[in-house]
Parts: sequence; structure tokens; C-alpha cells
Amino acid sequence: MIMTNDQNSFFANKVQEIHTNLLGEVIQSSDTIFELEKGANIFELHPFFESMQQELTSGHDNSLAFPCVQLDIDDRVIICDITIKKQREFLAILLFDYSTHYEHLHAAAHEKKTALLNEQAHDLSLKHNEERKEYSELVRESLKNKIIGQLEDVLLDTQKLCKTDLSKEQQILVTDIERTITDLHRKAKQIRDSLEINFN
Amino acid sequence: MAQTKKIVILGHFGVGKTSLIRRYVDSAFSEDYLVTVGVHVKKKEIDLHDEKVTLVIWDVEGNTAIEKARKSYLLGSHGFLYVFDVSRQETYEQLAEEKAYLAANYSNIPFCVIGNKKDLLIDDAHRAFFDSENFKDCYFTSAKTGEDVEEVFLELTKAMVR
Repeated sequence: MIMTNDQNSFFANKVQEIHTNLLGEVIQSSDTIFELEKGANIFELHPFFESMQQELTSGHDNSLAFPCVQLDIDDRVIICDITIKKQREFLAILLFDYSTHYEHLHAAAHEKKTALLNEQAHDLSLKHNEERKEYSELVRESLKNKIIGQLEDVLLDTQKLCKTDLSKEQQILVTDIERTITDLHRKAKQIRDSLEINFN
Repeated sequence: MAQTKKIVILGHFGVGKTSLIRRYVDSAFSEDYLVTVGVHVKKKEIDLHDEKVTLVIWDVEGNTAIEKARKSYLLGSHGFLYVFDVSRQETYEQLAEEKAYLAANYSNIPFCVIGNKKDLLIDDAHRAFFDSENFKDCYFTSAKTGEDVEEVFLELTKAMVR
């Protein structure tokens, strides 16, 4: 079966083959995506290649594949898969322009990860509220058992004292104590109630 | 002639890897979260002891474990930065395992561990938590304010050219 010209050009426009010598100088390039001059150095083209220089100019023949690399060259940005085949005397570099595919993937990944972060933030917020509520409950219990209850005991004692034979001076003192305790008791209950309101 | 050193930034997604690079390379910061898919490569030239060093920084997509990162991205690295987020426990609860993984599989490659978003450490208890033994070798940075970002890259560069 023979491909039509349109079918031929669909992938042909998205694949660039570059050959360089081991110094990185371009010997030939299909120039489908980026225009490269013969003799231009691939290691100076983009930091991606620059950082691979040591790996590509030493060691054995090998083949390397880098999916989803963002390349911005001459104001043009593409997201591509890069395959580099290292031969004895040259490097064969293939760029596959998958920008459209990766842009869709990026949008989906962004949505998914943003949702995950929001979910984690929500869970943390719930946990934080739960802990605050527990802490508040603890404080309310302590207020009730250790302060309000004891103040009530003191109030009962002062009332008993009032019924005894007290001097004028002692009566004034007990009334003062009773007033102070009543005030403290009211404030402690207000604090306890406000803690309850905040979490209901 | 400048030496070229490849640094790969690792860590969970959303910890601020891209923001750290933007702060370091472009002196910029944005609150907007933009996920990284694949890898973006940036570079910065610095002077170290009167010598030029070109840092080529690979900003790879976040992974829950280094083991899940694409191996080809790590090839030929001279240094790693492992970043966690001080405000998200799941990004640092496997820290010991991740450090052990790097030490076992990339024993000759120096790495620094960064607790990013230190601007979110607002209470004493939280700060005290990161003062503990588990985090004693970590650097704490804020890509937002820029605090200690230059320093950690400088420390890693020193270790790489040593």
C-alpha cells in the first residue's frame, strides 16, 4: 500500500534526525523541527545536550532514550522524546515532537495533582479541626472538674461560714471572698461555654 | 574553560522543585502551582574560587520515590538535590529510605536534602520538630522569599567540584 502525501508528512514533520561527529558538530540534519547549520555544535544548542556531553563523548556505543523533554531553541518550544544512538564515529539523534500529546497529558496531570494537593489540604484541615476539638474538649473537662467544681465547693463553704457566728469584720471578708469566687465561677463557665460554641 | 555539572532535582510533586530553580536561575517566584511533566532543563553559570562552573539543572517531574524516576534522567548526574515540603508530612516521612537509596545507588554523587517552604514554619513546635536528629543534615529554604536557596546550590557545587 502506498501512503498519500498527507499521511507521509504527518509524522515526517514531527521527527527530526540529526547526525553529529563525536565532537557534537552537526554533519547532517533533516531540519524538520529546528533548523541547524552544518558544523553547529549540538552541545551548545541546548543545556539538555550540554549536560549529556560527557556521557556521549566517552564510553561505549549505546542507545539512550529520554521521554518528555522540553526543548526551547530559537524561541520555539517543543516537548519531545529524544533518542540518541552513539556509534563509533558519530551520534544519531532523533527528536520526536509529541508536544500536542504531552500538552494534553500536562493538563490532565495538572488537574490530577492539583486535586490531590487540595484533597491533602482538606484532610489536614479536617485533622487540625478534629485535634483542636479534642483539645478544646480536654480544656473544657479540666475547667469543669478542676476549676468550676472546686469554686463551687468553696462557694458552699463560704455559705456555710456565713451561717456561723462571725464577727462583723469576718462577715465582710467572707462576703468579699464569696463575691470574688462567684465572679471567677461565672468567668470560668463563660470560657467553657465559648469553647463549646466554637466547635459546634 | 567552564566545567559543566549536571544537577537533578528530585522529590515528591508540589514540594517546590520548579520554584527553587526559578528562584535560583531567574530570581523569580510565583504562587501558582504548575505541574512538571517530564523534564525541563535550565542552566546557570557561577564563579567558584575564580573558576567558572556551568550548572545544568534538570527539573524532573515529582515522584513519590526516587526509584520511580526515569533512570535516563539521572544518567551522567554530578549532584542531586532532594527536596521535601516542610508542610506536608508525606514528602519527608520516607526521607531516611530515600537518602539510603541515593547512597547505595549513586555512592559517588554528592547530594543535599532540602526542606523547602520554610516560610510556612510559623510556630515554635514545628521549628523544633525540624531541629531533631532526623533532619540534622538538611538545608531549609524558601523559594518564596529566596532564603538560603543560593547557599544550598553553592554547597552542592562545592561538593561536586571537590
